[in-house]
Amino acid sequence: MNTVTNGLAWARLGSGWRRLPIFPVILLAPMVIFGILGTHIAPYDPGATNPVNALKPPSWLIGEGFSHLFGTDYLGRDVFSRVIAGARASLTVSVVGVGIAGCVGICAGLVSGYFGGWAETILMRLVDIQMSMPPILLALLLSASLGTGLWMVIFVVAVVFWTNYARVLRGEVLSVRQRDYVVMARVLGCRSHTILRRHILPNVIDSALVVASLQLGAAVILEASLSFLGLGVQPPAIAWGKMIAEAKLYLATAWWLPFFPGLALVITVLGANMLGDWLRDRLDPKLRNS
Amino acid sequence: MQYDPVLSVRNLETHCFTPKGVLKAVDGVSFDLHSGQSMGLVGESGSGKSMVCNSIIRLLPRHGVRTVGGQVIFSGRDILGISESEMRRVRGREIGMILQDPLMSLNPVFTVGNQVGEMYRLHPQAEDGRPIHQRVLDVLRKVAIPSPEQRARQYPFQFSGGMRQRTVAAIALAGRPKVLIADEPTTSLDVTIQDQFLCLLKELQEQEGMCLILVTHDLGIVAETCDNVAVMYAGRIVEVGPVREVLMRPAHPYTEALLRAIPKPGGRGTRLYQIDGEPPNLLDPPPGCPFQPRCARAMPICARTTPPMKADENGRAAACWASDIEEVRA
Amino acid sequence: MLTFTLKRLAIGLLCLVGVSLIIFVAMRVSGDPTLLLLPDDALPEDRHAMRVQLGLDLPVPVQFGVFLENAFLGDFGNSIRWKMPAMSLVLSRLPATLQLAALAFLIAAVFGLLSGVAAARLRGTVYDSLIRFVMTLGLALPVFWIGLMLIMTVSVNMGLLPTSGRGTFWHMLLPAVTMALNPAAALSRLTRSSMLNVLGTDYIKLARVKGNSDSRVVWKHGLRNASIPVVTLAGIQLANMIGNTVVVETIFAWPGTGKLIIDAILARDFPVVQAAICLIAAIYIGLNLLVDLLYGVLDPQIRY
Ligand SMILES: Nc1ncnc2c1ncn2[C@@H]1O[C@H](COP(=O)(O)OP(=O)(O)OP(=O)(O)O)[C@@H](O)[C@H]1O
Ligand SMILES: [Mg+2]
Repeated sequence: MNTVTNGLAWARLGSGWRRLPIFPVILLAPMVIFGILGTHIAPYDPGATNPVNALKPPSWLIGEGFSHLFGTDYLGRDVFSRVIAGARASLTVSVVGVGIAGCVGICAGLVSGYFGGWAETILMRLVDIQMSMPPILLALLLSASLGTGLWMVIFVVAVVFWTNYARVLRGEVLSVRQRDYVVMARVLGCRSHTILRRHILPNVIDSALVVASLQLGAAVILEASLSFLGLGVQPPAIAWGKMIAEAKLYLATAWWLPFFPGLALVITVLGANMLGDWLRDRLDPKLRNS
Repeated sequence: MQYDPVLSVRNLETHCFTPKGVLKAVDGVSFDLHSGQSMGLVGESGSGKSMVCNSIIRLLPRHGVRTVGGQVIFSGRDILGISESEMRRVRGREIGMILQDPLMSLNPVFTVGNQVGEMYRLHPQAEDGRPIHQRVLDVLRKVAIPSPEQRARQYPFQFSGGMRQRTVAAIALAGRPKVLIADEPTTSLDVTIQDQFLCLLKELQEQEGMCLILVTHDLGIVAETCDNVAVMYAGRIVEVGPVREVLMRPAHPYTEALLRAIPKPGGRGTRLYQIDGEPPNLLDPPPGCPFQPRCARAMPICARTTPPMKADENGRAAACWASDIEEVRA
Repeated sequence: MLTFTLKRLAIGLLCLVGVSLIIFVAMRVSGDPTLLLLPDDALPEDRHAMRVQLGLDLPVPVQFGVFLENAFLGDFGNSIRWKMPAMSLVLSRLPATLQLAALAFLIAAVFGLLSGVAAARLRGTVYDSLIRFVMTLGLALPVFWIGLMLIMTVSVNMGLLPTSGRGTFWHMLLPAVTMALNPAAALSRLTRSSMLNVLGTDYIKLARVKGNSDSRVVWKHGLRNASIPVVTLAGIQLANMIGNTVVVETIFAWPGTGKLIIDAILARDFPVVQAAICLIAAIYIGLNLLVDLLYGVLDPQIRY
């Protein structure tokens, strides 16, 4: 059962080169490499200050070759190295956060869709309550009361994003539950968790994957917004949002300070969104309008 | 036939430009429609019937489909050549059309009265000065919609399938067109309503003196409703003529095969005849006569040269080398 | 219709209670407010007196009850920093935020709708691809970055518009454009795909058969059908915009609720945070209700 459905999902991705989402891969690959290798491939130590060399524009603009591709900041730190180092926080928070949100949300969706009853009522009211607050405000409230730091930010992202999975998965489970083979399995007396694992989960996992990929970009932006507002990961960890916030004072003189971290952010989000669109079109076109 | 035809289609060619090549969906179709006449257009699925209708009214898909040749002469001028804004005045007012699916062809967000009334707003008719809603009620009454005052205020989802179909007919009639094209108007209705609707259509056509082009798969419907019939195969008309003659004495093997495929009353137990083979791939049509690979009477010449249309003095014509039509030469 | 509205209002009220619970819990978790209210060297007796005065010596559920009761009367306590009732402080800043959000929404709706319809009508041409590319990009731009980039180019380098503050219409333009960008992109994409779905239907073909002009077909027969899914998204976007004011008002020093919230959070001024978030949640819920009612207007099949 499992292999069959997964095989189908794979087949629906298309064949040959079309199986690869070219643009998203081109956009995301460097960010993933930066995130994993980080400081190992950065030309300078991203934390090393050099006041003599402070606020230098990108070197290729002033004829100094490749010494500081993205210029230096107010402490003389290499912006390019810091952008590379910043990928880690951004990717960790968004991928792990959306992943945890997925685990929680999928469980909630399965339980409320399959069993119904009071569990469904409670979970769905919880979703309603949470959705009556703008996500960024919820995130701010949580960060402000729970404190900051990498795991706190991940927790916040997970809390903000689990509701979408729960809603979508619940709907999916409700429809899969009506299919003949599930009804049959229940009539034959299969235990609930067997049915859920063998028959329902494989059929709704595609949608979960699509929701995850569509939320990835939003999670990257949420992390960046939090660190922009000073509620993200804390130094010495480097985050793009934080770099942009620090650049506020130098808008008139050093455009490269906010520009390059922002560019990295845009490329990551664009890649993630396009990946999400691509997956959705292939796996679950009916999610298009949601 | 001393009068000029109301609608005259001459060598119409509409091609689909697909990534795999050019598909000749309509490949040199010609026919005439005289005042008050009704013509059935029959043929297998994919033979290009809808394409002919859409080409006449110039509503082809935006991309990849184009009428590349021929003329559609309507009241003395070629409407393939007129501007889009002139064409808009022809649509609805001069040539009306009933689309295939009644359940889908009414706009869900406007009331029925509004949608029928739009015809009067788009095409104000000088001879009739009555208020629009009066005329809407009249035309709804004409298509036998019960309690029209109340129905006109309702939305399409409150109508049954048959009533929606009659509403679509009312919309077409409201423009008082000279030609009405009905593209498989009854396929999505159940049989009793089908008959009702066709009777209504026939009656209205005679009352208003319209010409009717009725597209269908069903030769039985044609026999009951139409004066003439044109049989299409692979984008061409292979046989035309008065209904009785064509159905009694088909001149083209394809028509013959279509007739044999009709289940006969009392013929229970005998196997229903099926046309052998598949419809041709229009992207790569067979040489010569397109029907030749499936034809029981194929001769060597059929695979070499496309048969020309041979017409006799009664307006019958067929494109078959084997037909016994006595050609009259002008 | 009335029963539906009342039912939805009741659910909304329940959600508000839920939101207050979240806020209440968040506040409890974040530590002892007397640490903020009193100087570090205050005597333990004073601290205790303060706790009694604030009702913090009562059992937690009772505290929540009291909090809820006060909250419904609009009393969220006094701002720690500004020493005035938190709710009136929030309300005094609300008009500035609503003004900004309204302009931003107007810009987003007009641009999103026009470009989406244009892309749908130009389907398959380079213009369509161009609009789609720009909108996909627009969706990926973080609000705070766009804000800074606009300030940098338009205000600082070109000196065209003021960088911050509130005053003339021109002060409002940059923050509104910043806020409008993402929603405009999202609306444009959805409008395009929704309009394409609609333009492929038989009733659109019938509208053409009747002799309607192209623009009447699109604007009269197409738009209303196409806008049904778009309205939902517009509601979500408007609500998100109110959340985004936190970021945008910070960047542009716009004296609205958003800036107040972030200042209050950073200063741990919890009564203000609570008051503001409750108010915004109420607005949010109201907007959702409005969207549902608008649905009924657009789609005659929906009857409440
Ligand atoms: N947009 C298009 N692009 C390419 N080919 C098309 C397109 N539309 C129609 N065709 C082709 O044109 C041919 C004629 O289609 P048409 O719709 O006229 O058939 P039909 O006779 O009306 O069939 P049916 O009875 O099923 O309605 C078909 O072979 C079809 O595949
Ligand atoms: Mg057809």
